[in-house]
Amino acid sequence: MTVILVSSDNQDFKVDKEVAERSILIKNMLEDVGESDSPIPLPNVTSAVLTKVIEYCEHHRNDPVQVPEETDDPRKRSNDIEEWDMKFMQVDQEMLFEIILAANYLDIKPLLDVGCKTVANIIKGKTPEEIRKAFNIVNDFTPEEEAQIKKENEWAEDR
Amino acid sequence: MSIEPLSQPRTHDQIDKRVPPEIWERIFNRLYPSQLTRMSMVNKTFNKIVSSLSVWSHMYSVAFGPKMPLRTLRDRPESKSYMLFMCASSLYVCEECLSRTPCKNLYDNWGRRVDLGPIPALAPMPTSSKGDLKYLGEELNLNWTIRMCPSCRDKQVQEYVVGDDKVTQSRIRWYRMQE
Repeated sequence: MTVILVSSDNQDFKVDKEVAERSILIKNMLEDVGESDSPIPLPNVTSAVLTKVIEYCEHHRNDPVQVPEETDDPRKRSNDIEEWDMKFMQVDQEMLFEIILAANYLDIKPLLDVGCKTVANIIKGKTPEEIRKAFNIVNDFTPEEEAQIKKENEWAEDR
Repeated sequence: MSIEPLSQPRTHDQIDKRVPPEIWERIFNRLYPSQLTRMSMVNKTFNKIVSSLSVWSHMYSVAFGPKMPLRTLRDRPESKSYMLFMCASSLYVCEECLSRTPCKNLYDNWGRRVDLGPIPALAPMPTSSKGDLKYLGEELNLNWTIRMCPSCRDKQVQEYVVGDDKVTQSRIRWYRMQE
């Protein structure tokens, strides 16, 4: 059985129900409407992003659905990513965040996790200035605020 | 037929604001505390998110025990008090297991100086087991260090599969020489 997903730019994507149901949002929608072959509009996802998301769901169609619960414990913070996923995430930063936002909207936890791990890996080991450069972020602190924060939030490091 | 894309033009995109705080929280929960404090120095958005993380009070209860109360600051979020306290204690806290070495000037109930034991030392952080950590061909920083207690450092050498690149290897050699 297949379902038709419609991206924000009105492109139709025909996918196996099993693949589409990797998205908990779509799974719930399908359960709500019952047997129906009307297309499912996804107004928050462009066709470029949806293509990537479907690629991910196709590859992981047979994975067990259960995902370990997120905890506060930073000791469970392994950022290892399996090889296929790592290659899958080799996209420009714009797309990386689009995939994360889509995974969040479509409720695909494993994909959201892989995206977050990738960003965490990019952040690791970077200084504040390097992070601003990497993500194109403007420093909006006044010099006084910055000095204050540096003093308060200093983590003991040999620098 | 053409339909306008929903997203804003890219020039106005500010990734820190476009990505909602709950996603940044998910990302930040994967970082070590020293990296979190660097994140908080990037800009106001990130500062606010880092300060609000519940992970700080979690760290506090692991390091100091759940029964030790902390007097929180009045006009700041509670998590911020925990964060500041953790930063102030950072020299004595292992970033990996969050255990804490007693402070130098700590005395027990009978006024005797508490035996210190080795304080956490800087060690190379565990890297990806895939060997090289790359994003879009760009080598990610393998030179970071975190503060770890002796037993976590031992575990790191014994258990973790460390990257086989030259930088990591030389760091591991360096760190073994400190033993």
